[in-house]
Amino acid sequence: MNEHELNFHDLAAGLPARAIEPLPTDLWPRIAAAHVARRRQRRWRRVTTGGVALAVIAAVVVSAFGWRHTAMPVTDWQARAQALELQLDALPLPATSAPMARLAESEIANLDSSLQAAYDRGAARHDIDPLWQRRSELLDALLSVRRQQPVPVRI
Amino acid sequence: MNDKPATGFAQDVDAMTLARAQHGDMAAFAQLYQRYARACLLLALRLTGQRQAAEDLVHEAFLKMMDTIGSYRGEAPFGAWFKRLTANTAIDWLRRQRHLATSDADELLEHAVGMDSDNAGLIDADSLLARLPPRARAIVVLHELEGYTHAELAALFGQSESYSKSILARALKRLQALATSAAHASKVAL
Repeated sequence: MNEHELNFHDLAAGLPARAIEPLPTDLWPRIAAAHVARRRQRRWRRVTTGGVALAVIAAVVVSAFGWRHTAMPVTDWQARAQALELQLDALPLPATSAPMARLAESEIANLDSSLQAAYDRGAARHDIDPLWQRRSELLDALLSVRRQQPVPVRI
Repeated sequence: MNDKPATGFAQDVDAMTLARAQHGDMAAFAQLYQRYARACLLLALRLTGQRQAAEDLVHEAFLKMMDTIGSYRGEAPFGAWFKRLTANTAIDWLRRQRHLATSDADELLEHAVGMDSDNAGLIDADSLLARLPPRARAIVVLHELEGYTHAELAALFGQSESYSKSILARALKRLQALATSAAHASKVAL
């Protein structure tokens, strides 16, 4: 027989066919059970993976927000108020006090009393800071008014 | 014209059963099992040469089919698609068992089991195949019985087409010698 003509069908033609035992009857139930278990496992994995992903996203958002929050510059209102006070002192005194200026000066005086009282009772930073902030804002306003007021000319 | 009813992987499956299976219907999967389990076992048995391994492969192949049937697009008949999946599962199994470790053609066929006079007369076609080493047996089964081309075999085993052709030619020669020896032993026994 030529090597090129050789094929398995011809070789096996004279041989008896093998009797194949049937598959065990419990094979399909086992396959079905394994498939259902795998499907359940995959669904559970999807749920837990989704949950973990959500938790990670939430953690990232919270930490990013927290970082931004802490990264925001904190104004030292006390230092700002003191710096404004120095600027105000450097300006020449006006001939007359404008009504706005008088109002601001009066409120600053009240704030100074409140600040003193707060320090005396040992108030916390978060109670004192708003007072310094308000004082800075009033000093800012007072500075603007003073800069616009006519200055007495010395002869 | 061939009026013989289709058997094995050549059996057809109706579109409704397929659609139901693609939606994960267990009753449809059970129908596919009824239809193709035997063909699947036969191919697995021929490729592995071991009954227990073949049953494990049927289990594995059906699980794979149930997982991936959603990707079946109907380009080929379902039986052909499933046959390929079974063959790939069997090749993966052989690879995992390191039965495909040797790729040298000469070394490979050195391991072919000879025919002893005690059981030579009882040989059938599948027993004859079982005497070949796993890689040579897989090439004979896939090419001669399942219609794989040498190009497909080359891709499956990560070798050249000429390698597959060479293994096939040598394996068939070896089988011919074994069959002749079996026939002779059978005559002597009579």
